[in-house]
Amino acid sequence: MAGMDWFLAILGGYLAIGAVFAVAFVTRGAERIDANARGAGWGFRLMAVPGSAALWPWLAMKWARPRRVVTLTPRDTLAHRRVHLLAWCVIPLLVVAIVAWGWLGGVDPTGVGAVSP
Amino acid sequence: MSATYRAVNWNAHKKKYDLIALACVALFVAVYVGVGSLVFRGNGAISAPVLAIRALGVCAVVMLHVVLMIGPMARLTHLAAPLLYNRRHLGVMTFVVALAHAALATLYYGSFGGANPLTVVLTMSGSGASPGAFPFVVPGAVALMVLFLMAATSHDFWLANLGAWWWKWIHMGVYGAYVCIVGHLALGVMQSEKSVVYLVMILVGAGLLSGLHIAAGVRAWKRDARTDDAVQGWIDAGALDAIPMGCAISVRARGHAPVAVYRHEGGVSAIHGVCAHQGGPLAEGRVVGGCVTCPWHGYQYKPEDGCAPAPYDDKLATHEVKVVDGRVMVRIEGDSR
Repeated sequence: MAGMDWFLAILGGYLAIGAVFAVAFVTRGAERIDANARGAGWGFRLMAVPGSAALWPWLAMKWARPRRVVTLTPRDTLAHRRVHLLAWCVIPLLVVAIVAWGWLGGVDPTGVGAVSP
Repeated sequence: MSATYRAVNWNAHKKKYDLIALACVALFVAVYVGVGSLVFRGNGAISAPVLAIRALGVCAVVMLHVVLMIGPMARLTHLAAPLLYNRRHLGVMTFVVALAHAALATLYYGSFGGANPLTVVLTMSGSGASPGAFPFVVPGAVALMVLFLMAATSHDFWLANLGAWWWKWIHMGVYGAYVCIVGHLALGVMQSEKSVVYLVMILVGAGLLSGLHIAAGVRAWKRDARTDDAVQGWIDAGALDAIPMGCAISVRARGHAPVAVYRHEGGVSAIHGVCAHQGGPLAEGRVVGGCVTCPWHGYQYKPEDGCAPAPYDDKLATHEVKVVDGRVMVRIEGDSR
């Protein structure tokens, strides 16, 4: 349990810093890194809060050193499409292995291995 | 794209779609709880909070299956295109339903004693070497975090700033989330109730998803693998009659990006085959309102010059095209003109 407590404390700390950062970012920073955010309403800014809190280290770097995004000819997504196909050849095998373990792996003697009514 | 961001780009269709999706979620949960309280009575009665937790959990799993099915379905049939245009909203709704399931379960199962409820729930497990000894909530929590990251970065602001390439890799984390959810079910509820219903539902779901994805993937693979040799810069895209009005075919010269060759009221046009938004395959789209429309999210370009309609300022490269003896010839020299 101690390990889980530590993990949750670190995660909580990360997100608490992120929440403070997010307030500053959506009010000032978003329009520094993206011109389309200039003049955007509070609906958009509120929607950007959770992502800003989650990705704050990356956004902080972008905010500190904003770079102009250069639009290039869009790249083909061939690699993604092939990974999709490969992933769906592997996923059914993983699903069968997990379900087989859960079904055939024996019964928990304490009976508290899962939620109960 | 060059337009000030809005919270949600709703239009009449998207509003209708969202209302139907919300109604379906409410109906599913209400029917599940109602039927559950009628079926499980007496000694086997299930309390109302547990029924609500299960209803939300099952609803989120069903929604995730639907979200995962939409992509390959849209690649196999144009009929699924409207679902694809609105998939992001359904994905965010799936996260909200999963979050409600997690919040209720944490409050219900974790609030006994003085310990942190999250710690209690995340370490819930049986004992011994059985699968039931696995802390089954952990894979569920990992899946929820992936769904959160996807919902939180679903706005076009994130797409523009992360870049389509990174954004898509992040959002492919949904496959990992799906496997985690299977683990959450197989090592959780399937341990307390060895019902064949769970087994069949998980396997049928996985079979359906993998079947659709593999069928769509093989079709795309065959199409992507086909390249044509250009003769003096011109490539034979095929017979004009083979292109249905308002639709396109894809051609790809060796070493070049695909080109979407559209047949429309104004004639035949060839534009860069990859959408500027998320890299969607423009050759699988249609002409809607005089504009080439990406099948993924409905981004539009004028076929004659590749420009997005105002207020957007994207421009895709176009290619010279001519019809010779009923065959469409496309000039491919670099990606832009």
